[in-house]
Amino acid sequence: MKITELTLGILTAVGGFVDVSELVFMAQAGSRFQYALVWVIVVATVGMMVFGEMSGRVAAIAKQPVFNMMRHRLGLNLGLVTLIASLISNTITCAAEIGGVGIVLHLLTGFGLVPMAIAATFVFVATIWLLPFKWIERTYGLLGLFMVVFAVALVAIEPPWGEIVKGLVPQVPAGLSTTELLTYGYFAVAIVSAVMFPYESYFYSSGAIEEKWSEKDLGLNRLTTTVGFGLGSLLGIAILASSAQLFGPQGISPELPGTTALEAAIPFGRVGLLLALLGMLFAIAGAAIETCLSNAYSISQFFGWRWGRHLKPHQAPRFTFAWLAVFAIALAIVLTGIEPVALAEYAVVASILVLPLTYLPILLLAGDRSYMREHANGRIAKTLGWAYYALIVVAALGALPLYLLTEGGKL
Amino acid sequence: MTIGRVRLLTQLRDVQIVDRDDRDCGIVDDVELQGGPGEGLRVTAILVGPGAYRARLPRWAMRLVALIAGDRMVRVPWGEVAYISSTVQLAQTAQAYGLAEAEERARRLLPGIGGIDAPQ
Amino acid sequence: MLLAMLLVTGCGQASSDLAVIKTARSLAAERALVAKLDEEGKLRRAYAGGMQRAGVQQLLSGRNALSQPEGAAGQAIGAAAAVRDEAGALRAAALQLARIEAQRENH
Repeated sequence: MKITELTLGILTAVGGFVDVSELVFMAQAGSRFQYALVWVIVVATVGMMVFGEMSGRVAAIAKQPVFNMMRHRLGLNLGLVTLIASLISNTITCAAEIGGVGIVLHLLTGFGLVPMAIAATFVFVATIWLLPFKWIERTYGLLGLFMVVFAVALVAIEPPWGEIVKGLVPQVPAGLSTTELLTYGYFAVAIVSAVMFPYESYFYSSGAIEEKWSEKDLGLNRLTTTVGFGLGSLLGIAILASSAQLFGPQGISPELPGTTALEAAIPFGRVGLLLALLGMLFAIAGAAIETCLSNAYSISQFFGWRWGRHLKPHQAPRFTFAWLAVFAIALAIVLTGIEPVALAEYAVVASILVLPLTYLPILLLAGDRSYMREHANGRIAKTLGWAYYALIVVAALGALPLYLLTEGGKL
Repeated sequence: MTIGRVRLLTQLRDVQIVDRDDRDCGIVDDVELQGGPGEGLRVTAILVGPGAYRARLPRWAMRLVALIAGDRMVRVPWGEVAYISSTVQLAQTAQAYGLAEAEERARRLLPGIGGIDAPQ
Repeated sequence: MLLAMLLVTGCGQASSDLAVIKTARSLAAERALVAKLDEEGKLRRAYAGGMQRAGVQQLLSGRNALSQPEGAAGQAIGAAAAVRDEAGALRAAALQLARIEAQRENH
């Protein structure tokens, strides 16, 4: 395994960890419940590591991306239900990301949100059209490392580290009213969904096929998913903890996506603000591209079309039309005027409903020796996989009721 | 042909098809069997395309599928299946079986430019 | 799925009003923080202006979503939207909304 390749893979995973939903929910979770949800970020990240590693391993050994497995393992009808549900949830997510990019560009430049969202979409189309897969992933992932300013800002504001560490212990804060308890539950589910978004598995697994991973890449896969996602989650924890320290006492539960950037502006002024906005821009932009491509991967793999950015656009024409259509629909949703924060909230709820169907084929195939040979799930992977699967099912069952009962966490 | 037995549902149906050049060219959407009650059944062809599973889906779902992927069906004789592993590999190119028509139609609508090759 | 969620979130007007007031209280507080940091020279012009405009827009949308936009809560939200970009005045508007929020929660 080349050190450069490994380092770039890990850094890309770090820079690409956060998207608009995590920005919104981590900040709101911190301001509402201080550090009491830090443990949920950790639990969700470990879940993402478990399923991410399985997705990459299955791609490397069985040479199967997620949606090929989906249909094969779940059958046509359930596979089609999963496809439709994930297309809807990923498209809503893509719209939220495009809207988020529009907002950040508006805050950086002063130009209108709508022209910025349209311009950004054209840039994304050009990016995917012109660049090979690895460069697409690396460009936005590495530029997303500007997000590290949030971690540095947390250190600068000298938070109560003991309280943050206490937040690592699974807990339910004492003395909450019934409504607050339900809201706490909603944020826990939302964080799990935002960290374990299904598009991330589709993109990661298809990306492994794009890069022609094989047995020799299993070490890279393991390190990228554990170290990369682990370090990325520290950014999420930093956003939550800064919000607890800076926003909670002022009665702010960030409603505007740009408010999170103040976490860097408060200690570092204009330079901090600029770095935070740049980090948010590239992280959210990367997520917009990932959600779009993951939809195109899903459709193409389900129907058996040629797919991938390792091919030129005209060599995989139906795949190309698929991702162009996703951008067009997502941009159209943004242009209806629905707030990107509202879209992010819908995306999180829609995604957790799809998660059980997404992860079941991965879990089954990663444990199937006829495909995976000696690389099938061992005892630890099997135990963790099924434990997390149970957690995901519980979260999926609770998501919609909690969303409705708490008005999307607003009560 | 593969060596050994093939499970029609778990190893064949809904499996990715690749052609002689390893290019994706569809999914085994159904399997054609020949024979009657009291006789042996034999696989005579694989059926490719959404038209093959029209009977397996509710009407509304089939309309949605047709919107995205059309409703054509192509019959590939079983003798043209060269190998079965995690994919079904055919003996000839996709064009030889008429499995590349939709891609060709879509290709004509796209410019033939773009796509930088990554350095190896 | 999206339509169902949108339809159902239109129900339960009392708790919806409380949700709107809480959101408005936060928006006013966000505007106040942005104004304070802008006065300290910590923000870029485009950012401060964009945030204030977005805050005002969302406050006005929130007021229109109330069951009684012309009631006490609606007037307080309207006042928070009308306040100029000055930290002290915005903090006062946020406090007023916090008082209304507390009354609704204890009701």
